[in-house]
Amino acid sequence: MKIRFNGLREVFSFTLRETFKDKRYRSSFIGMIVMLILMPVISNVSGLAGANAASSSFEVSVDADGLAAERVLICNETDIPVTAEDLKENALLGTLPLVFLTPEEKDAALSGLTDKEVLLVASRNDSGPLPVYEISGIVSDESDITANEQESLRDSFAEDYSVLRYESLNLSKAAIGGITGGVSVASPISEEKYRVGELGVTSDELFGTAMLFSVALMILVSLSTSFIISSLVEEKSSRLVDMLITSVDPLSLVLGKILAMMCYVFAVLIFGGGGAMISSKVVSAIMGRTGTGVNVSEIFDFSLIMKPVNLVIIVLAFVLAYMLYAVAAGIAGSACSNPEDSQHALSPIMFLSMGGYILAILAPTITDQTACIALSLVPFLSTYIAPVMFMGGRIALPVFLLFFLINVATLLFLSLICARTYRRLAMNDGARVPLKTIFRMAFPKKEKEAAHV
Amino acid sequence: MSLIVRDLSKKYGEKTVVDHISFQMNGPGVYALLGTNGAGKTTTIRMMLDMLEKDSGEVLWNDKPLSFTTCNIGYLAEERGLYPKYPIIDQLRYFAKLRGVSDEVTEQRIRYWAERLNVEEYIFPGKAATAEGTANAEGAAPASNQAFGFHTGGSAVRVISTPRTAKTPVKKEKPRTPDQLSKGNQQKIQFMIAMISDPELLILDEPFSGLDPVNSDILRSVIHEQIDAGKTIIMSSHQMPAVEEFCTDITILHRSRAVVSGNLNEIKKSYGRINLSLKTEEDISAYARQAGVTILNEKEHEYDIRVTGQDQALDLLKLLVDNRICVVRFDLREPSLHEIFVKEVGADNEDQV
Repeated sequence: MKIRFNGLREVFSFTLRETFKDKRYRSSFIGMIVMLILMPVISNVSGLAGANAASSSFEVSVDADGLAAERVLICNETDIPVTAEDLKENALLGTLPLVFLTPEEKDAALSGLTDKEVLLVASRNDSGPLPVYEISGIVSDESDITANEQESLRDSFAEDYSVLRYESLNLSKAAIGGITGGVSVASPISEEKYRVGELGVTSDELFGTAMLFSVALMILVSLSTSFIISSLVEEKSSRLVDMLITSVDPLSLVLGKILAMMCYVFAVLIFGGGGAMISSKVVSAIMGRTGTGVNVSEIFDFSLIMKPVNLVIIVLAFVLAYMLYAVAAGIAGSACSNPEDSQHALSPIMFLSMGGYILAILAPTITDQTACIALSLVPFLSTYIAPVMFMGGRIALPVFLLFFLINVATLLFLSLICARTYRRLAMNDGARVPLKTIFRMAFPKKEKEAAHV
Repeated sequence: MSLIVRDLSKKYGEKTVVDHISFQMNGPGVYALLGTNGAGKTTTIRMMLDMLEKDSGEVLWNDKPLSFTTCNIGYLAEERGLYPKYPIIDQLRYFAKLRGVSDEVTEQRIRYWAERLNVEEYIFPGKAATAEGTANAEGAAPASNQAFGFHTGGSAVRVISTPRTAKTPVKKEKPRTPDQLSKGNQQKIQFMIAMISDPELLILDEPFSGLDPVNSDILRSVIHEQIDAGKTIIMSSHQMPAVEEFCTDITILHRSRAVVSGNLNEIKKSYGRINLSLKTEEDISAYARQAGVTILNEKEHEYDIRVTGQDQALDLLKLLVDNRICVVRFDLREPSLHEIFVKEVGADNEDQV
């Protein structure tokens, strides 16, 4: 059977024009864009609420303006000299009056501590094999100073004291920086995760990419497939197909709609995504100025997506995924004769899409190389997973190319089925045609052709 | 032109829905496909248009397989439909584009047919009605058709509709959509779609179903114009008077097979003159029995009589004259298409006709 595309342009332009003219579609278009634009605002506002809640629960930071302490007494029992000049730059201690005590004055000071005073004691413990320096913070029994503030003042003093200690050993500034910088430790990781680190992609980047990519693709597939199915069923139930099918090649009729819907949905994503980026920047700027809140970009790391080569990969993957799901929706839609059946037709496609979405969200945690490759090669599901895996360095270029090849072949196969069966399916005005029958229609046995329609 | 339909067959599973149908048209005219519901008319048409795969047979137009590329076809489907929510004018332009009609010609044709079928107000809402509408209301083609080169012929049919007498400026309204139209008006829009490419072969599947008498008359006059313009028309219909009015050739389908096929006049002749309509001034029942004819209906000495042929009718007339019975009317005629149809497909299907 020859596959032709007669009338494709006309079907495409008519469907696109009428889609944007249709009040329902126009409302959805505007609504979805507004929703996407508001998403960063909502995320940031909800992030702010969460941060405030966490802050009030744990009181992790102390502001110099909000200190209850009015005076700090410092008793240095060690051999490392500490002066007021040394603590001048300290964020907390630099703002408070400091009184330096000798060790002899300590006991008197302890008994005379007021509710608004803190005594910081630096001592040296030589009982162990190596000497240990200790900093203690002491307040009166009825002190107005909270434990959190007391700890903050103590730690703050301890930081500067450490630097003075290193300086007393005649270490260079660089050496001191190296020592005080400390060592960051992370949870134990596998070899694969370690490799990811080597390629310059952190798990945060990979998670952010997987999340954004799969959400966007999910929106794309959900919107487009339901639109395509309802559009085809509407055409069939309004008995238009008889007139259309005499003037247009069957594949053109389906493909024209799919491409028009692609423009519609991609326009939603482009305008909505662009708007979301702008609104995110605006919200960040406002929050940065007020010094409040938690920016969504601080929670999710989208930097991987913003690389030009990855943007190209994402666009290609979106187009491929869209076409794959849309042609499947085209076949499913043409098998239905009335709007009641369209929900049943949509279910398997949504099931596939949901499966892909869940796997994509889980993708950053999948470290087994074989599993990564296997999931990247399953038609339909892989459209959610493979691009993320490739961008994250979990799969190599040949595997990624194979992913494209497999899905393009699947797309061509579905298009062939669509071309071979649409005319017959369109003529069917009975019950929904099962998938098995559609396959038989597309590839009939010579001796006994399927005759559902 | 020539249209050859040869040996068309279609089976759905074990059920044969079209069984080796053949017919031929050697020149312009109207060919009717008649049959009861489910006889296979629409399936035959769909196979002719390549909408359904044929199990066997071929359809040739000027010795080439019939398709939308080899012939300019206009098709009015039995199951009519339009996009309910899209503007009518957009749908007309869409179908014109699909049929490869240029934008300029499309606009001309839309205006022509809108005027001709009295649907301007739905296609161009708010546009001023013109005095040309008055001419249209009387059944003649719009004056604008001359400018657009459309073929129009004289028609005996006069259409009565509300005349338009003056240009009445109307406020511009939103484009109308099919869901705002009556079924009959939707059908006229679909007929416009079928005619938008000015087809040489017009296939009309049940064109009169759903139309009121006024709109039926408009469609009749349009079909007459198309016949006069030398178009080839294939029509499927249940309305026997309409078929008799237009058709030169017919095929009667019954249970997927052609039971009668050929030239309508020849078919009628083959049945002979068997219908006698007789009016006398007194009761003739006894003479009818004597002559061996069957009285089908009688009302105040007006008789519908079935005879075996012309000889039997003349025997009855002689008997009446010999017995000095005054014969007011003696009308011997061939069977109507309705009678042939009922005879061929069986009285059990008569209610479907």
